[in-house]
Amino acid sequence: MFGQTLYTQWKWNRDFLAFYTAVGFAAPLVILWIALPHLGLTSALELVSVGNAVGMTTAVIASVAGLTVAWQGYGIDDRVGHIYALSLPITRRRALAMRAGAAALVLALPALGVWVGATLAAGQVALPATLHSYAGSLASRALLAAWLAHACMFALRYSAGRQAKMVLATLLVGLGVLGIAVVLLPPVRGALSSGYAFLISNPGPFGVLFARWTLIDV
Amino acid sequence: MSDARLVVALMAAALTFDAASLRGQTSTLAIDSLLRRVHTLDSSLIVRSRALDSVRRSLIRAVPPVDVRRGAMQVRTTADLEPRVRTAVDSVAVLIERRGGASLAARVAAHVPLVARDSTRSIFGAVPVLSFASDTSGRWPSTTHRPIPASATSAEVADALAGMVEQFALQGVDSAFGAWIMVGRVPLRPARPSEAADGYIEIMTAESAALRRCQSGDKESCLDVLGVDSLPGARLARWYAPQDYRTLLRAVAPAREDSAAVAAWVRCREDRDEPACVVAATSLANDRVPTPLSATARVTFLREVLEAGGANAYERLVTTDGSVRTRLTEAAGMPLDTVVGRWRARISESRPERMRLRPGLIVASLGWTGALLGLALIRRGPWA
Repeated sequence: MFGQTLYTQWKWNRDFLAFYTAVGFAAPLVILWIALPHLGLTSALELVSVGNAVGMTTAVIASVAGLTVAWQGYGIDDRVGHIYALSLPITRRRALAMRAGAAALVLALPALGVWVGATLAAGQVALPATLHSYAGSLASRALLAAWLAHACMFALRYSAGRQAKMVLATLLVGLGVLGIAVVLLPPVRGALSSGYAFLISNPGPFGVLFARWTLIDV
Repeated sequence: MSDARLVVALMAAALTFDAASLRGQTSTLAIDSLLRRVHTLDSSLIVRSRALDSVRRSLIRAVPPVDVRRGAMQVRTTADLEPRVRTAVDSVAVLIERRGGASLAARVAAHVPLVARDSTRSIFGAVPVLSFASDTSGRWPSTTHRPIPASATSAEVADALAGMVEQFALQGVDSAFGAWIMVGRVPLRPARPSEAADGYIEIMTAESAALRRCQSGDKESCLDVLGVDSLPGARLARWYAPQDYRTLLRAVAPAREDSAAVAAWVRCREDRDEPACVVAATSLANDRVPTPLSATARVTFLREVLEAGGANAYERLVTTDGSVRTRLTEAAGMPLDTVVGRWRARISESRPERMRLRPGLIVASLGWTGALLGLALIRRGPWA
């Protein structure tokens, strides 16, 4: 049953996965090809800046890949009234667990693309002795970020169902209101800032997304 | 007009009136001398404006009533801030006793810092803050500290007060040493982890031949880039190799009168023309070649000196006469070469390893991912 679910996930998402894997592979190479002639292979500080650019691009690619796979899986199912899911001889919970597991597996592809591309890109740069390349660490972060982004969208779509857009809009409006409250209400600023700091730092939920992302660092 | 307004008006008039300014209106043929005169008058106006502002402040804001005192540290504050300020003063007094000794205590005792509620402008209205002034009696503060949020903890207040104490610690020390340290304070507080990591990143990414020699163990080069000793030769030859010129020329430009050098500078920056980089770099006047390391690196080195010297290191630092090297050697109580070795070792240990995937981050990320997936799984309703 899991194999069948995995095949279905692959069939639904293979175009997107191929695109994100190709972009994840190409981004480090393209950024370095653009940047290196300007750096002349000498500037350590600028190499770190280029590494940051690669890292930020990778974070975006991984997050969008995770969101897309979750969105696409639910979207196709929803368009046909969830007939496929309802036809399976298993419970909803079990079907969703297998679908999440299958998504986790296919999301390894863009991370693999990042790893290969980043390794090739790092190999083209004569790094000074004080700098190191982090292709493996970058790919691992990409995998974690893709899984997290997928889980966010998966939870939204399958928990809220057809109200997902409304829930998403409510969340966005709520975040906007909190942002305005931070500016207008100084007494709550401390608490909101602490809450925000928790969200974006380890062990907060989005710590991995807001941690350091770079290909080249000290 | 009431008496108080009359007094204020007279004081303002007395402070802003300058008979010399009338003479400044007489015509002079030399444009340079006129420009100098304008600068002098500008400076005079700034000084008098500050004096007037301080008089205004003293009339509007009374000195806070609560006196918090511990050892050499005396702070004036308001009743509602007293618990936080008292805790902060206690910890700062301990810092003064441990790290500063009698010399620092004497310097701190000459000031009565003030901690009060204030507000600062933000995009939408005012934000409450705690403001710090180094003196209640002086016309204007001798040191400055930026305000901190009104909800700051006692530890944050202590940190702000300790920052002021670090500035007091440099008062009365000769100008050569003050110029060397550049930041106007003696680092008495322990280094923050981010400070050590920033130092590591700066040293590992700075492009300087002297710094590379320092990293490979040449202690004389370390002392040269730290500005403690000067090796023979021009700065450019001592500190930078030709491969560093392009980065150097991002920070500094040749004199604009030297059109050939400026043209080479443009070619170096825009076309990455290496011979042009050499022309532009060698045209720089010796005193325009920047030091490879920032003031932060000097602060970390001075902190190492003080830690090597133990309890009375600060005392020896400020009471010793002589060059920067002599002061630092006396303060450290050991040869500077040894201190350089310790400093380099500490820098090497401070590698931030920002890209290392820590188990805590992996567990947290997987945990939140699992929790979010669980949120979808626990729903018992229909698929849609």
